[in-house]
Amino acid sequence: MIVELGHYALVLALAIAFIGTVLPLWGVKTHDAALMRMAPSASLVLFGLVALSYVALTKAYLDSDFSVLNVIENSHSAKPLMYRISGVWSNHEGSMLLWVLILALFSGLLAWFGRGMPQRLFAAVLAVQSSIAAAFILFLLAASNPFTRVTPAPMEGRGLNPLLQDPGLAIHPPLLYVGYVGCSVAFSFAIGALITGRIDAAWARFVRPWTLIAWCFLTLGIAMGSYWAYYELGWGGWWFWDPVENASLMPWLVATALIHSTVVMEKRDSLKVWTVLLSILTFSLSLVGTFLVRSGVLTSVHAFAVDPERGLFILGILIVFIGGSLTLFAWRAPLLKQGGIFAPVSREGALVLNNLFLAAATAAVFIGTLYPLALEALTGAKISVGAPFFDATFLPLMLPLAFILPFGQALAWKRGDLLGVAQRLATALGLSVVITMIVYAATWGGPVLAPLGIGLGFWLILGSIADIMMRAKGNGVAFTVAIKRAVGLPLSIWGSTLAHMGVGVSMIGVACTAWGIEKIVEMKPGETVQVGRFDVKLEGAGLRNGPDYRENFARFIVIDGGRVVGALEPGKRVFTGRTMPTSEAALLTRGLGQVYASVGDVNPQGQIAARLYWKPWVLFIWIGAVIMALGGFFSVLDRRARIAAAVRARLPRVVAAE
Amino acid sequence: MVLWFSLAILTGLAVLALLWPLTRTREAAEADDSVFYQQELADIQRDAERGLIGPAEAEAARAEAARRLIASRRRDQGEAEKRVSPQRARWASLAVLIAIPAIALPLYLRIASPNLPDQPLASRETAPQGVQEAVAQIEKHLAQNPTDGRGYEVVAPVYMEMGRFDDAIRALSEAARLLGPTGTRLSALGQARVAQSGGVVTAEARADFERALALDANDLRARYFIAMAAEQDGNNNKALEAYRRLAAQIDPASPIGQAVAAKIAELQPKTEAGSVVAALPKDDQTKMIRAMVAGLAQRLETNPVDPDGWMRLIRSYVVLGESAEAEAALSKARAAFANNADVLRRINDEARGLRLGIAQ
Repeated sequence: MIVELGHYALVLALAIAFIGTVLPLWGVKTHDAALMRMAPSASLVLFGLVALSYVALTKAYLDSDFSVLNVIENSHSAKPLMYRISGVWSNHEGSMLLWVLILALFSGLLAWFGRGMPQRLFAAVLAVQSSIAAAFILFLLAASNPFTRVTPAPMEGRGLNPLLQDPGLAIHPPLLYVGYVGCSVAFSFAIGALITGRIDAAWARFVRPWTLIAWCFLTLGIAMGSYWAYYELGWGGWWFWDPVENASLMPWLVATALIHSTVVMEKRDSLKVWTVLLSILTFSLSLVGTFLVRSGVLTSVHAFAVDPERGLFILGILIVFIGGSLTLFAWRAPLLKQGGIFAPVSREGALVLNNLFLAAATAAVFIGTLYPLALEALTGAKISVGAPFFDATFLPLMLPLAFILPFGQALAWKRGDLLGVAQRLATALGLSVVITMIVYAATWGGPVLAPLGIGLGFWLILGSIADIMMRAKGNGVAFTVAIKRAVGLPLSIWGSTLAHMGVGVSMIGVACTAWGIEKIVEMKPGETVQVGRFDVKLEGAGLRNGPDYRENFARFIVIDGGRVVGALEPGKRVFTGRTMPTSEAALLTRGLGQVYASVGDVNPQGQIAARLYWKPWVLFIWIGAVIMALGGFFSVLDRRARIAAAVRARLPRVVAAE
Repeated sequence: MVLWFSLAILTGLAVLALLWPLTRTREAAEADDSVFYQQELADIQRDAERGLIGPAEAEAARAEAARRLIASRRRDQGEAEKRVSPQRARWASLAVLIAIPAIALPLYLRIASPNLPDQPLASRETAPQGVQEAVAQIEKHLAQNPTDGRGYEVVAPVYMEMGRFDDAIRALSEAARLLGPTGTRLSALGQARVAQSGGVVTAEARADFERALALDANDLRARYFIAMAAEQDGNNNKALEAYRRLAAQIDPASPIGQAVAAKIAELQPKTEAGSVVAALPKDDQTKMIRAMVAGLAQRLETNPVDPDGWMRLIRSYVVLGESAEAEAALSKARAAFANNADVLRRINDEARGLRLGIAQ
């Protein structure tokens, strides 16, 4: 009964989403307050119903209810509890339901916290959110129903894709989806502004926290996915320019541009049209990402053509929402009034430059990702656009952006003084150059570009610190006063500083991969291989059983300067119900670097094929991403970002004062 | 019943929640943007006090914020004529009341299975079991105790029964690995492989049988399949010999006894004559064959109604190079079946194939 109740809740949610789109929009058109007030009610009910539906599916997974097709295909009664819960979103249908759940959650949160917004904008935004929900619920019910039943029910399921049976991948999709779907709020705000014809600095302030939340989760989701690929796929890399990765990188780049352009809009009331366009593009790229990953177009363009139902459905959603919103943009955007003007050398100018670089980088990734697909669809030729293309296009855009970043951060609004800023940043710049020189001297004969990357990373970190110091000191005050002031700085300033430092930290991590060491060897038990400063000794190999898999593993001892510092046990696992073996890399963290081992097959002579890596400072890559996200969360918590929720609470007093 | 009741309640609650805002016609106080701009003015003030912006810049910023505040107020007033029309509210209520059940119910009935109860595994495991369920339970047990060789051995024959040969092979290999190989286990594994390959004794299967025989020379199943392997290799003599030795040791009424007997009956005519002859030296072979042919000819003289016998005789003469004898036999055969058109045609066809009777 629970399963059927969940199924019905989803069907009912479709009806509610439909009503929640049409009636509030009618209210917006006729300025009818009663109809507009239906929008938040509909959004809250929608969230309740989708949540009920999701809980019902999760319960079917927990109970191993094999009368549900989705549970048969993706679960197994021997699965540990954690993977039964994550099993829900490890497959197409369940993950689309999670997608809708998060969308409904954002609508619900918006309905709850956005009540201080202008009523017409509020109703229009929620109606747009409902329309997105309606489209995706329809997609679920028509082409990817997770509640399809089977009778008679088999006694056992087919098990979860072993690659996905991993804590990293258990939490990666929810993080990423919160990021993807969070972008829908900015989209709905943009459409709402175009419909109501009203957009101003207050709009930017309302949309900013939502964009920031989406951006933070997207950052964490991408970092998590990258770390998962790093230790689970066993290739030792951390970013492969794979279309699936690019699909998440593109919305991230545009969202990054968006959170910067909303700052300009909030402070200076300019860049309105551009910000609206970015809002539309961010969510459009999220949809494109969903399409790429979910339609099967990536496995092969032909696979898509063979079973086109799902792909065509998502493509239809894509065309309606992206095409519709861009048409609306072309029609209504000229009506938006432009705001404040600024000199080229100013904070605004720097942020425009930032936006241009990020937009160009997005275009590069977009072309690199979609061109091979288009080519394959048109001519059947399969080409692969890999790291060389992105190294040649993406990096030349990112490096200058990183270089000008501290200058932009330190420039004043409206009209900046580049010379003054340069003077104030001289120490940070000087230190960074010295660090670069030292690294060059210490690693003479090594990689050429990597020390430059490290210098750039330090420049970002030191430049951010210099900026905070400058703000705290003002025009020269005592040290204790400066500390007090620094503590009192708005959280959004700390947030942006932290996020920029995070970029620097990641950059150092990436640069340091140039000094990584890779050994691909065949070893016999007892043999030792030198990997960097470590001696890695193969102790032996064995067989062991997990809860639902069998594993061939090898045991390595890692010796650092004659002292055993740890053991590595990489293996190959074969899961019950699946025949495909998966490799399980083993990591030993020393400082911020990692010794990485993965094993291949055992050959008839008893030798084990192994890949051994020493990756110095590699953890910086992900630590930097976490710092970036942390910076974003700091900004969200800024009291100014909370204003949207606070308005209503403070309204009576304001009214009384007038 | 409980389900329908729950669905009705769910629908009712959703409809009520949507109708609720329509019932409140009184206008609530609406927020405007003034708080936002007041906040901005306060920020400018603080930045100015801290010395982050000069007095002149602060003044300009204040003026800009104030201008925007005034613009925002003006716009709000322009929009302020907020209308609540009871008529529209009635239409909207009607739409909600009709559209929601009208969308949800037919769609649900079309795609769902409302009569199918939940079937959590825990409640099914205590229910009476069929073979499927028993197998599933053993599989689950084995997933948790993958070193239990006995479990594999128990489940393997069931797999064979069910035609799940791949699973049977896996289970039997596990049993042999975990419990140690014996003749019985290895020959069972070999049999599973034969079943999987559709009755062909593959090299892999044969290796299993050979290992089984190495461990237990008397393993009947292994011996039977080794004989079958020889037969499939085309080595009928060896196969027949092996089957015969096997038949001597087993109860002819048992299934394997019957299978062996059937094999022997099938192979005997293909091999008997040839095998004896092949064992003799060349000269003796010819002598022996001639003797056999003479015997056949004699038999046909006394009992001519044997078309196959005649054709074998004619072929034998051709093989021996005695074409005159062959022609003579052909005439005799034709004479014997002069009244039987069918047999006559077969004989003539055979003769044409051997290039005989062309003279006529």
